[in-house]
Amino acid sequence: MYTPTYAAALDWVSDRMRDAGLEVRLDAVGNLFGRWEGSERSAPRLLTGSHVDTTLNAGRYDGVLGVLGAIEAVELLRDAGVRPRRSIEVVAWAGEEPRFGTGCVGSRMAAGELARADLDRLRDREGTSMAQAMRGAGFDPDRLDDARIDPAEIHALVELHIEQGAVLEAHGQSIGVVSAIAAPHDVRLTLRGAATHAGATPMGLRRDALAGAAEAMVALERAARESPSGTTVATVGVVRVRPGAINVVPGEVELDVDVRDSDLDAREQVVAAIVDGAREVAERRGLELEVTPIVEDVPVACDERIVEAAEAACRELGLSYRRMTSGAYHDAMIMGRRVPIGMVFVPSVGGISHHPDELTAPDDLDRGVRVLAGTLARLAA
Amino acid sequence: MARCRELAAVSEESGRLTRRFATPAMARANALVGAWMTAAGMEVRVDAAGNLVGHLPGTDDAAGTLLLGSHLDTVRDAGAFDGPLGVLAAVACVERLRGEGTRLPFSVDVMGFADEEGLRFGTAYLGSRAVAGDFDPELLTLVDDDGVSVADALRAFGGDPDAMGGASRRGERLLGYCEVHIEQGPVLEGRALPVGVVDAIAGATRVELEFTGQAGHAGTVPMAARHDAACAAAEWVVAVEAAARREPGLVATVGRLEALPGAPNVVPGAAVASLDVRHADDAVRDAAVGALRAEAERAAAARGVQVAWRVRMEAPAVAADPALTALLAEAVDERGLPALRLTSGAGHDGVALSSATGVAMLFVRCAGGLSHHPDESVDEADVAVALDVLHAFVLKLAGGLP
Repeated sequence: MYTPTYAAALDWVSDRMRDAGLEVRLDAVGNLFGRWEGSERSAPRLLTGSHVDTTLNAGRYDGVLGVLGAIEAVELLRDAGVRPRRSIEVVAWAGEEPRFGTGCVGSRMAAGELARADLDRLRDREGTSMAQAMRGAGFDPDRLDDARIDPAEIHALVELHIEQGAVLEAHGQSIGVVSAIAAPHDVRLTLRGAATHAGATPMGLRRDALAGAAEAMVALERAARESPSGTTVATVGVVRVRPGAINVVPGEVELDVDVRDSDLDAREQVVAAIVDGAREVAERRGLELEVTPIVEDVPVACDERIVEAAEAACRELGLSYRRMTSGAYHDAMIMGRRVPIGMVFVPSVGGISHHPDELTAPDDLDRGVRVLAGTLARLAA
Repeated sequence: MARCRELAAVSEESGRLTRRFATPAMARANALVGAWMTAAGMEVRVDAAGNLVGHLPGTDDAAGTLLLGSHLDTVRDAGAFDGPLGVLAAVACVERLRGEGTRLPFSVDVMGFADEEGLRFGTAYLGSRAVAGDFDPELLTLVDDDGVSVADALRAFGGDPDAMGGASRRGERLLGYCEVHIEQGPVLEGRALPVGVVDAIAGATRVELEFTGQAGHAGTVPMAARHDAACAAAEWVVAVEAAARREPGLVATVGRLEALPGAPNVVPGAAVASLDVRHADDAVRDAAVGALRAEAERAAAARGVQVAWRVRMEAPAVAADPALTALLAEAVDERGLPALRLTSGAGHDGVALSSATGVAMLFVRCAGGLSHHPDESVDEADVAVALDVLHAFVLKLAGGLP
């Protein structure tokens, strides 16, 4: 997000929105909206969409499907002669993928969850602050509050997304109707020892930060596997070793830890086990441990009316579906703390995501768009 | 020590010490040390490979030459003592011999080797290999970060890449090579000893590993369905440390580990790691490397992860010359100190010279074992002990000659 490539993507999406007859608006922080006016202007509106920023070396469907699919759903409804009572807004949230360490920053800003000071604090891996990046992209970080959305104006939010897992494929089902979204608790563990000569420092006299960090990673994997809920997942996606030379005992290691579950208690037990484990390792090895909080979100339950509307749309179309939990983090979760939300999943081939091989069969994409359209039609009536 | 600090100001970069092979800073360092050598009564030259040589003739032309010294190039942002201490200790030794009127039968050549650290061209012991007669002409085409070749750098420096054989001392009557060097480790400090005698320079194996699993979404792939390459690598890192702790004298280090693609919300599909294993006994090292490879394969297989194992470097251990080392140990012993024998885990110019002559090394305690860092430091009293030992060593060698 906030890159020239991202701006070009937003221009392209804006054109698709206009082609579909939507009224396009970019808010103060880069969230893009395309509005289809309902017959009752003052009625709380529907929001539907996802994000068009990507992770590194990404696939083509994560997020993008929810934006382009929503535009297509609007076109389907219009072509079918539907005249919604409530206005429907298609949204592309800015920055779902975590360039600045925290994900879903666009929807967080719309939900009023980021303060002005956070925009200076959050930095990307080159050290650029979010506020600097916003200015560079032509947005004014001091106008953050202009992006706030009043929850009273939102009737429901529905997000179409690829599953990013293999549950639907395993059960041979077309649609997942999401009942709850698991939320992450992310921390950074920094272990500091002593960077010394790899040849001249005997094993017994080392304070090797990487050996300690590796032990913490093994303990983390075990803690997640032994979670009381059976559904907790824990990941170390980033390992930074300093100085990172073949002949130097590592003096400092950072681990970015991500723990998720829809069961909050189980998740917190696993996080505690990981942090306690790292502390024990650090003490035993004479390392210094710093635990930096990154993000701690509460899992969100989907709104029962939206779940039922989506299930009704599936039945009308004769599609097989299942209720399921989303293991992934989505913009809908952020807004879900304030407004009723729902999500529709389509199958991911092999469960692969965040990878160029990410794929959903064309027929499944089409089914997802039609279920979204049916859901929106029911909610907008 | 004052000279070490004065020499440390001779750098390519202002504010920190970086002195690479065949740079203007190296030329200034050679000039400065050369002036000290001249003042000590030595004949000074720079050989075809850029090594500084200070020659003190002996009384008997047939008695051969003892080589002393160390290297004058540095790592980036270096300390003042790694290398220069050994060169300047040798210069100080010659000064003392002249000052007391000692005439040695053999010649002494104080060597300031040009390229031990290999920072500029990624080489190893370029200067000392030339002196040993083992210079590989293919190295002349290597280029630095600015695209300058070894040959061009040497020419600009006043060396002669077409006559590297001229730097070779192979075939001469060499009595040995003795080097004073900072320990770069914490063993002497732990034993409260100012100096130690090196019994071997450890052999080293360096390996690059790549663990390949499957990237996945950190939220949607259940633990049981993962092929997490970073977790496999982590389990292996723990096993490397445990294996090295079990084997006396073995050191094994994973200095690099990177998870790929390296995003906080992606299960790592690959992990790249480095391994550095050293031991004084090549058979022990080979066995350890084999065991660590098996550990990598086991940790990978437990997660459905593949592992590629690429050996990047293998250098055999070099045993110190027993006779020279015994003289050094005697000299230490006569100072009322236990002559602690230790293995050098770090490589030194002695590795290269061992093909041409016997090698001995004396280590000097350094604070905290810290090296390759501007805070590198040695105690003045420890250096005084090292100078006494080196001086006594030379006299013993002279006395022991037939």
